[in-house]
Amino acid sequence: MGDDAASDGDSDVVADKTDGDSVEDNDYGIEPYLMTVLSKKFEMATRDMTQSLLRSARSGVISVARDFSSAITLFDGRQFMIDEGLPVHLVNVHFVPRRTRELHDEIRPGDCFLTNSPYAGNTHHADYTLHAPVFYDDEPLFWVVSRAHQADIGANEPSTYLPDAENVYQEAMHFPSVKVQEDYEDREDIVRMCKLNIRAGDTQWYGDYRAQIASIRTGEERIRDLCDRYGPEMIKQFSRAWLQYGESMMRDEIGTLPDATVEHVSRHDPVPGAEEGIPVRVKLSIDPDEERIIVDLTDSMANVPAGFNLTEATTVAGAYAGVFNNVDSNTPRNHGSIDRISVKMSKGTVVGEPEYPAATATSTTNVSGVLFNAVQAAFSELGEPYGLAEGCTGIPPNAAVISGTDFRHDDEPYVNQIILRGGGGPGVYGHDGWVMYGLPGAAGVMHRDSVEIDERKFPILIERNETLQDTEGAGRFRGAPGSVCEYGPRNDPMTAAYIADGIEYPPQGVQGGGEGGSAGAMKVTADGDEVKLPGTSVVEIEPGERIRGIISGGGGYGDPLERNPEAVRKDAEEGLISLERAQTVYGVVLSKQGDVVEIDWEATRRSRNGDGGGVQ
Amino acid sequence: MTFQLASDIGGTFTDLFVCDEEGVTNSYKSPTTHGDLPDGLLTAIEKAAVDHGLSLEEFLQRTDRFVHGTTVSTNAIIEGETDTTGLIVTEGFKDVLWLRDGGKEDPYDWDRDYPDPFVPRALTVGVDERINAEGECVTPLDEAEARSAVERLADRDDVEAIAVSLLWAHVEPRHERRIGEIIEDVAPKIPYSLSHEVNPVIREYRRTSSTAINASLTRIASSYLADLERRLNDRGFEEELLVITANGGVLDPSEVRETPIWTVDSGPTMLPVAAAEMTEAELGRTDAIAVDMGGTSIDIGVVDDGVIPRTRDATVGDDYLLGIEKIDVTSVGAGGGSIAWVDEGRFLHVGPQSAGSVPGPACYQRGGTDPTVTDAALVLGYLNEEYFLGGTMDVDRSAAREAIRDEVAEPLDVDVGSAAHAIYAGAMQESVNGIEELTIERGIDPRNYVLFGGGGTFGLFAVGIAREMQANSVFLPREAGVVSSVGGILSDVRRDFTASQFGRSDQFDFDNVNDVLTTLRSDAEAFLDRMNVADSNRSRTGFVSARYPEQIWELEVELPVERITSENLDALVEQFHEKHKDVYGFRMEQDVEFLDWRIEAVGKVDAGKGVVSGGEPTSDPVTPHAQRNAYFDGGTVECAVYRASALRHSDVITGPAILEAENTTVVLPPESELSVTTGGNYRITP
Repeated sequence: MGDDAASDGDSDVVADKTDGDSVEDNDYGIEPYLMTVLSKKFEMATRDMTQSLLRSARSGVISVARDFSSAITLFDGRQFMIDEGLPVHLVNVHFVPRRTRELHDEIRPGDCFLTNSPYAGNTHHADYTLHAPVFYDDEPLFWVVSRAHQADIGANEPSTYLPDAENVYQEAMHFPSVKVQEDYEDREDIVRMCKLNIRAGDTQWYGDYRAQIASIRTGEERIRDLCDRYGPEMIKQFSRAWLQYGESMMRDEIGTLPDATVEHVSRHDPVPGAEEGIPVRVKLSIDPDEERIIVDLTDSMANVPAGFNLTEATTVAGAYAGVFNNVDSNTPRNHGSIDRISVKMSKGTVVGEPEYPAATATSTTNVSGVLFNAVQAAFSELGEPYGLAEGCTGIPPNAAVISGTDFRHDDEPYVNQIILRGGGGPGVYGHDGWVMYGLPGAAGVMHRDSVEIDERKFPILIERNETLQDTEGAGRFRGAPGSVCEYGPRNDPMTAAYIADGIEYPPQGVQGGGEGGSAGAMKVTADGDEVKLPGTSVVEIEPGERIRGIISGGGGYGDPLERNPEAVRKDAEEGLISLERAQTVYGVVLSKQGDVVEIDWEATRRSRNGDGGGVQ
Repeated sequence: MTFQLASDIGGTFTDLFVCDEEGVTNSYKSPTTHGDLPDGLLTAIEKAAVDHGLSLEEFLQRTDRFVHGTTVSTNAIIEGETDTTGLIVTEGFKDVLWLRDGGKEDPYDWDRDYPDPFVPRALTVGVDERINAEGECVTPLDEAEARSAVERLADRDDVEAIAVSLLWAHVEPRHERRIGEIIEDVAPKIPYSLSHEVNPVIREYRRTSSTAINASLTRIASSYLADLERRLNDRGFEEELLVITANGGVLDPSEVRETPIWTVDSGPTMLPVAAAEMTEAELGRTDAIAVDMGGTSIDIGVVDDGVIPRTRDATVGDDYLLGIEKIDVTSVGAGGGSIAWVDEGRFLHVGPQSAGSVPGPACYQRGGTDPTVTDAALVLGYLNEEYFLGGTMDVDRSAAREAIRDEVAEPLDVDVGSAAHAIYAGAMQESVNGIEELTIERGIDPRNYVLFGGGGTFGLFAVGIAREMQANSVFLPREAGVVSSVGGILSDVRRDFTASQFGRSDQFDFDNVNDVLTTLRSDAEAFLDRMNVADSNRSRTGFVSARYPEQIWELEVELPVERITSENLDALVEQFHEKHKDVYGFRMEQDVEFLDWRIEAVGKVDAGKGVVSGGEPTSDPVTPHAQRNAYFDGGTVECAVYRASALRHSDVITGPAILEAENTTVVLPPESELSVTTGGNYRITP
């Protein structure tokens, strides 16, 4: 150490340089300032990729819902740097470049590959994962990866979520590591094929494709600039150090968790081939001594003949998210940290690796959401402050893929997913549920549409889109309420495809918290009658009719009788809960005068003691 | 002798910047008087008057331009002290402000509360009515319901303002107008704002948020300005007061009263204004990146080909979307007070926590023990223990060393010098990332830009940041501490007029678009008449937001012509293609959609340009004030230290050197060169 506190006040303002040798002498073999500076520079590279795609993409799923991610992996595929995106895409990108390396003997600068097949490592077929190698001085160093959910992929239904598809043959085109660019130029044959097969292929799809390519090339250029400046050896050294740092942080975090094995079961609503619903069982073993977490998902039902099977990528995403939700948010999400998490899965099961040709069309949303819920809720079995309750799941009509023709523009066809979600966030220790939650695999990161933008783009009228009273999962920290969205076509029929979940099995609470209000789907006829719709369907809505979707409320965390009475009062004043619910569920007796809600403290004390609540 | 004044009321100090007709400038400070802000301002003016040998009244009588930046609106929002506001919306959409539009930053961080809506649900009322995307009435306004909604809000003791924001009101405002009439009828004393007037653009969350914020500020802003005007007039000021607004211009108070939202976060918009005016005047350059780095935050703006870009995504206090097209100045939470710390993985972080001014950096010895960026700069020899803030403040270098040793050097197992350098480099990279976020979003290549900056901390990093970004020139105003006030003196009268009119290049509705443009232009003209702007000083520039079909976000392009015709439409379309290519790296041969049209009316101010003077050049080379050891290029170097007060026009300093001013310190690494401009400012070749 070159320090002596007593030496100050003279002209020797800088510390003794003689000890400079110790600079190299740390864990990472790289000077601390470079460690900090290079991590920020790579972070900026991925953010640059994201920004470029976010603002220039066409489809709402990319530019509004932010259903994409940008990442850099090492050339061997190990994950290196990821921009914050939807967790269902995150920390699982390694499968894709790995598979591409296995399938291609020769990979050259200027190549770019497209993978959407889950059997080549992808999340599901609707995510087009473009990935390009980054070479420096003829040496391959990294992959830049852009994964984005497409608005349409040319399936037999105008939707990317195909619950009824029984196998891959019914899901439209699968690309396993197909080369789409050579020498930085499109392979026109492949592009032509996509334009021909995909709805709005010339405009929407091709616009999104160009935006993804621009994003990839931006990342590539950034990395080359860094190699120019710091030299490839330093960059390689840093990439090793960054993974090592991830490992070290994750070890440290796991070391502070309780030594325990806990289990949790969540359920997806009934689907074809699983009339009782799909149970998702998680066994979580935490070994703080070994600094390792084992997420055991092997107890899963066999693949169903429908689009509800998960993929290897979405299975690990759920497992990792449950862990990252519970560790210091400074922990880098890279291969160093995820190597401390062992995910055990079976092959040929709904949760786990699918057996070809099992269908996986909804593997990023439906059972995936249930898996995220199961893992995060399993953590809550460790006791406070760990874990999260369950959040809303599925794709109710609030986020349907709608299609038809637009009478305002010469009957031009339209097909796109609308995102008018709201509510559904799970209670967390210390905080009520996140209101604009999206779904578990989206974790609040996604955006929602503007009602006006949707009505501008599509010939529809949205009648109602707001939260619903008494739908929050009660708890000491309550879930966010559920929400409703009701809309219909203006002039010509509209098709809406949706796959709701949480109708039969709404999100559960944890640690004594209550479940959220149920999801729902119905049609309101021209006469105003309400007709219940199936949980999963492709329905045609005539002009004059409306479709109504309901998103479930998020589960609560902790006993509602322990909720701060003032918070209950505020919820009642805001209209989130009724006075009746405040009393029966939270044990807080309220009175209302005009708009003002007040607590009857005496009655509340009696009510809570009577129920064994014991607060106040 | 006449004067121009610019004032800026900050949390701690009220700054006054004075420029006399010769171009001689001075700045004055007095403690901010919370509760009665004009009081502290008058104290500062009095100081300036005394300094010029005049009484307060004499001084104000000779003041022919007084530009005022107020933080009264910003503070009211951040401190939750705006007027309690009721909100009337289209039935079925009560949660427009609660649902917001998503975009949580860290997907795995759940240890935070979801933000409350700007108007609570309890004060939000839906009324039955509906207009569609084409502006046709689908459901007529239920007048009885509207009346009872207004009554319900007005009957509450706490509601002091009402905002009305209905779907598609920016296309067809008649329902909103009718509700406005009902409010005037039912509750004539309650100020109200209508969304189609405050911010007539598509996207209900933006428009509603703007409208609610605007309504909640109406009374506060207008009574504050009336009070200030009265007190200045009482003391002899006879001209019109000008208020800084968030579009980088100034307005007279009567205009501001209608749209007080434009005063929110307006002060920082003067940063790129100062950059635009000064770099053009002194360097003849029209592209600049403007940075203001202080103790707790870095403000960043850009000037692109003389134009200062706008954004509709700006928020105030993290959570509340302004929605108006304000000057894009982003703020990054990093500065001299940023705390350096090492995590369990032995990785050094700088920030985001800040020691602020209390307890402040360890060297302040006010109880702070965390090492900060300022401590690192002191240890590296960049800051002078003897001349901190011009010698007005005692700091202790050994305390800085100790903090860095304990919290950074030991955990990283390096010496204190390396640790201090790592903190300095980390802070620099934070700044570079902050700047790049803005430049990337704008498709700007910083290599062709001047790095312009001010603030107490920026001089420490200016050359390093310029080198990181490969900017070829740095420009530092001599008055580093009051850059925004300099911008205020230089700023023009400016107001924006916006309207929505959808158009698509293949089926362009020339008549309707030109009607909209004509209306906007005549509104702009009427405004310039009201402001008594001479014809020769008027400019009206048109802009339109555009995108490819199916895109969600728009890019704004300048209109090349006043009226759009079938002959010149192609030029506009081409302008969009090129802009798209600049920003996103590609263009497509497709039709283009047009959404919001904007006319920016500007009344140019001649006075005050070339505001500062560098004094007479001297033939003697400037001599250093002292020599000192500082850390450069991995080692300690003895370098010359200069005092700013000794510098004259055309003096040159080559690095390694340090330039000390009362309010900032400029670090000049080896091979950089600083020269003093004719205006007395500093130009550096990094």
